[in-house]
Amino acid sequence: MNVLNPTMRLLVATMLLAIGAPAMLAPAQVTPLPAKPSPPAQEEEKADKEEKPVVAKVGKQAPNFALKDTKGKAHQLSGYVGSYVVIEWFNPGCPYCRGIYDEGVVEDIQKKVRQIDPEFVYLAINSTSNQPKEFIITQSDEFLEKQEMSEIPVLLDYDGAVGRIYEARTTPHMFVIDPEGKLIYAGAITDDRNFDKNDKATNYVINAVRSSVSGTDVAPDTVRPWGCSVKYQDGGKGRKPRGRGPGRKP
Amino acid sequence: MQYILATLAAGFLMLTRPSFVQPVPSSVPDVRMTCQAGQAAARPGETLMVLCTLEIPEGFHIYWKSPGAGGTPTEIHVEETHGLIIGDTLYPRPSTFDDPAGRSYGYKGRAHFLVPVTVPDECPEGALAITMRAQWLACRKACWRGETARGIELKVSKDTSESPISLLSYATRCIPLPLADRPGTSISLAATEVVIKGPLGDMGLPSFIPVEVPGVILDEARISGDTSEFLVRIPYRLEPGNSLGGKPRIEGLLLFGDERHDPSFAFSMPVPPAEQGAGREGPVNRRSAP
Repeated sequence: MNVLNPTMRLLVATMLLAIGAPAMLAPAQVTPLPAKPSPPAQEEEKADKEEKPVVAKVGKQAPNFALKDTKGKAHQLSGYVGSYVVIEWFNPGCPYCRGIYDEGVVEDIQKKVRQIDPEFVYLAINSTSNQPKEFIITQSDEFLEKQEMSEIPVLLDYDGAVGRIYEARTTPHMFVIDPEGKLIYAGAITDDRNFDKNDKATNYVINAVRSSVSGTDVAPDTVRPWGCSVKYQDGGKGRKPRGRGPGRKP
Repeated sequence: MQYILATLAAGFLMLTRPSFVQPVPSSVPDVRMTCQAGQAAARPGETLMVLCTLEIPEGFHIYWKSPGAGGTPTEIHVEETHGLIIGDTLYPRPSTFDDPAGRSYGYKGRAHFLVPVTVPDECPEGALAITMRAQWLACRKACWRGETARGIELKVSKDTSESPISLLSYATRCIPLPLADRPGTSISLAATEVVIKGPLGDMGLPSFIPVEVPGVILDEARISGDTSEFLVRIPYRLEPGNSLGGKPRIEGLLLFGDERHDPSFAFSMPVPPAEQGAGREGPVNRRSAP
């Protein structure tokens, strides 16, 4: 039975597509971490309450992830075991993120870490979700092309799932993973957030790789990152807020 | 008919896109700074306050000295000091912002910062021109770095007895007081936690805002109380390898009420060497032996 004429069918289809569009844009191309056996349905709620989310910890194996980059190429962290991996939480809309490229900080890391490990991998992860996904892709690619660093893959984490696992707070927020897959550094890229120390700035990422290669402890292995807050999607499981809200009566 | 329906459908499609749901401001936020000396003139040896007010456009916020989950601290410096002794910037009580990245601390609307300036004993009488420079990160859905400078003139006179300007009184009220100034309140440090207790005022239980100190990890504060007293327990642990050369200390703010001029109290407690062993966490990054 044909209740809708072709025009109405077209209209209904368009509206359905429109309603579905944000949902189609939203999910990042994230491969779930190694799956745990599903608990029986009746225990699901209990398991949800008890199960602690996987989070990255310095000194432990870095949680695996799989994301696609802006060109559609798939990247899996476990595929880079055997090389140093430097991950930058990236948002070219953030002035600090642009600053580390404009001031040559990223280029310095590329050059110096590559001297240590020619196979080292630099990944930029973009968890920004305050713009449409197409815009994020174009903005990321155009920025790196302008910087003449388009060889850096920008991995799309639109739903912020990987960002939350790594507890990425700012752009930039740096993570260094050693060839055995262990997270050896998390934090600020340098101690120069105003970009005015020039060659007196300490580059924590390069220092972490150097310490690791020389067999000494990485110190510091965690430094508060500076930059813009990561623009995660609303409604996700954010960091547990510290402190409390406004005062209340006992 | 088909044209109208197609237009309607296209409009509907556009309106449901995330860019319309979450507009990102595209223009640079116009944060403005005004600075003035807290009093018209100062005597040699006297400390006066320089008051710098940042006006933040609606919808934006800037950050406290310890910004929380994300963001970058607002900084105010004095350039060309002419031998004046410049103290640490006094930050007003911050507000709390929760967003998907976590909890941050900072300011909306208007924020008054105070910079203590001491005139040396040997300073000759006359006028000194100094420049106050501020740097901030202003965020709404996106963030912009900003910077500005304002020149002010400080008058030095041996015979002056100037009263502070009226705004200074309000600005001073917004600066947290030392916790030691709150009557009946005590703070103690044990191996793994800081304990603060004191009489409950008429504003209910306090809230706590941590200051991030390199090498010191503060866990979520546990706050309780009865009808007469409050108790704040702040678990902590030390990571000496991450202290960046600084001495470990536990730092934070205790806030009563909700308004920016409601009472707030700051503390900074060095961790004595005896406790540094107890709360310490071993290096997590030691490489396994070959």
